[in-house]
Amino acid sequence: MPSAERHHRRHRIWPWILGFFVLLIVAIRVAADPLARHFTQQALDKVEGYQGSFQDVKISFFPLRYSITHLKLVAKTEKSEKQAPYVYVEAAEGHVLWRDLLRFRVIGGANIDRAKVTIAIPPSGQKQKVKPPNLAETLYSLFPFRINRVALHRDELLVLDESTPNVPLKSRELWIHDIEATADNIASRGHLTRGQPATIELKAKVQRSGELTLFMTSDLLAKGLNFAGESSLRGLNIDELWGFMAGNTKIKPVHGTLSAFTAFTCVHNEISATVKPVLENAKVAPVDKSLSSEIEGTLADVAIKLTRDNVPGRNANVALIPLKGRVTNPKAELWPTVLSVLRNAYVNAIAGGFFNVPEQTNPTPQGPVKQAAQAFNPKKPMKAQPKQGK
Amino acid sequence: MRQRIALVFLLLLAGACAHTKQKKPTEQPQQTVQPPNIPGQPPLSVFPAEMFAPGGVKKMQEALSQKGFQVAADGVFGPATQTQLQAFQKQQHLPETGMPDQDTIRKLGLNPEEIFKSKPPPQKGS
Repeated sequence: MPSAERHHRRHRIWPWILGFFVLLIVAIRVAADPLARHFTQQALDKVEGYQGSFQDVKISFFPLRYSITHLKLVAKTEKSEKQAPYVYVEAAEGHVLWRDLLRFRVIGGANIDRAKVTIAIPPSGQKQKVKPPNLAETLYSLFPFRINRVALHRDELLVLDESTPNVPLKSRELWIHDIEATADNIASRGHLTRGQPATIELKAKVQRSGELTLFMTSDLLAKGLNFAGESSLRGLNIDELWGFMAGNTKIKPVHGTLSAFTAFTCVHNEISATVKPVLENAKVAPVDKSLSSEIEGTLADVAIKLTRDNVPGRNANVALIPLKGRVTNPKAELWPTVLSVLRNAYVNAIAGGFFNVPEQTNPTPQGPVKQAAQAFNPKKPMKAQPKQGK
Repeated sequence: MRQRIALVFLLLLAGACAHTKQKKPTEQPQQTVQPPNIPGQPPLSVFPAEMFAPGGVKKMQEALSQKGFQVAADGVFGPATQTQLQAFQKQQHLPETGMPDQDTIRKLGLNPEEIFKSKPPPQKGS
């Protein structure tokens, strides 16, 4: 019975085929991690000027994920072993959804936990010993697919000023930490963004007392730069910032808190923004006993006292600074800025937060006298001036 | 130029004379200056509250309440909603920004396309 024999042969082949696929899956699973480690080290070796290392790399297929732990990039200098890494990442992962992959959309997301980036500002007259690496390129070499979302969790940025060796080390640092951030819809492909803009949302702490937030939306597909958003810094004690700026000033803060609120829009590379710094209960003093420091420190303290609003518990110096122009070279409007300082001091105290930010713009340009009349009228709001030609 | 300097000096002098007068902060209402929405391009927002489609904030607040993060469903994206949203993000091991993002909305069981503003779909035949 030839047909029965053929049927019986087909049944005997199926276990072999099944066995082959099981062996193939096991082989892929066993080989995946070592291969991933090999290609990861290869990608890190290509970063110019830096030595890359990591503790481990793991690949998971369900869900499809690549994970790397304890990633380090250290600048190749004579003191590499003692140097803090430029980048340290405790854990990073890239993932792609199978449903996107099966639709031929190689697009995914990346999560980066407990990363620390250390940037050193060299002494004046010296260049940086090693050029900073292109972190976006490094990220793409590790996660070779289009990234549509990045999430940062408990990350840090440390900027160290090496140009003032006389200042204690801890004071020379600008430390932005506990960074929580997301960036969505950044793959810049129209059919993937579903008609929504790219967004960036960030919350972080600055030094010990400051709180930083940033929110931004952007149309990555439009011609030129198109974005809008707001940013705030709240409650930063100014003495925490002094060491970082000590090399450039003869004044030191005694006490006071700095907040700043910004709102901005940019359409086709033309930016329009309002910046509102708020300095509360501030006192400054000369940094040393030299004549120039004494004069500068005393004048600065008198200027702060003359231009604050004397509201009990606040004693704030506030300015509304309109910025307009090309995004690469925005210009601050001088008269509205000066008048806003005077308005806060002598007319009505300008409230904190995002009140008056962004500032409304007058439809027609006004001369300094009309602007002053408006600024000193408590019943009329302050307005920025329209951009004067190109 | 001299006239401008003289004007500033006089203003400072006048102000210095009246400097001891106590004032209260002026609580002016929020002036929302909308970024221009260019036809065919995704709508840009200056503040997180402007990202939401009509009714989007209320849906998000109701979803937060259902997940155990009590917030009044008043349709206003204010500090109370931000605090609860941040607490929810902490529970879900998402970045704790207190601002709405795609993953946070999906973890609330909502569709981001229904919550956030988006540009109208292209017309058939265009």
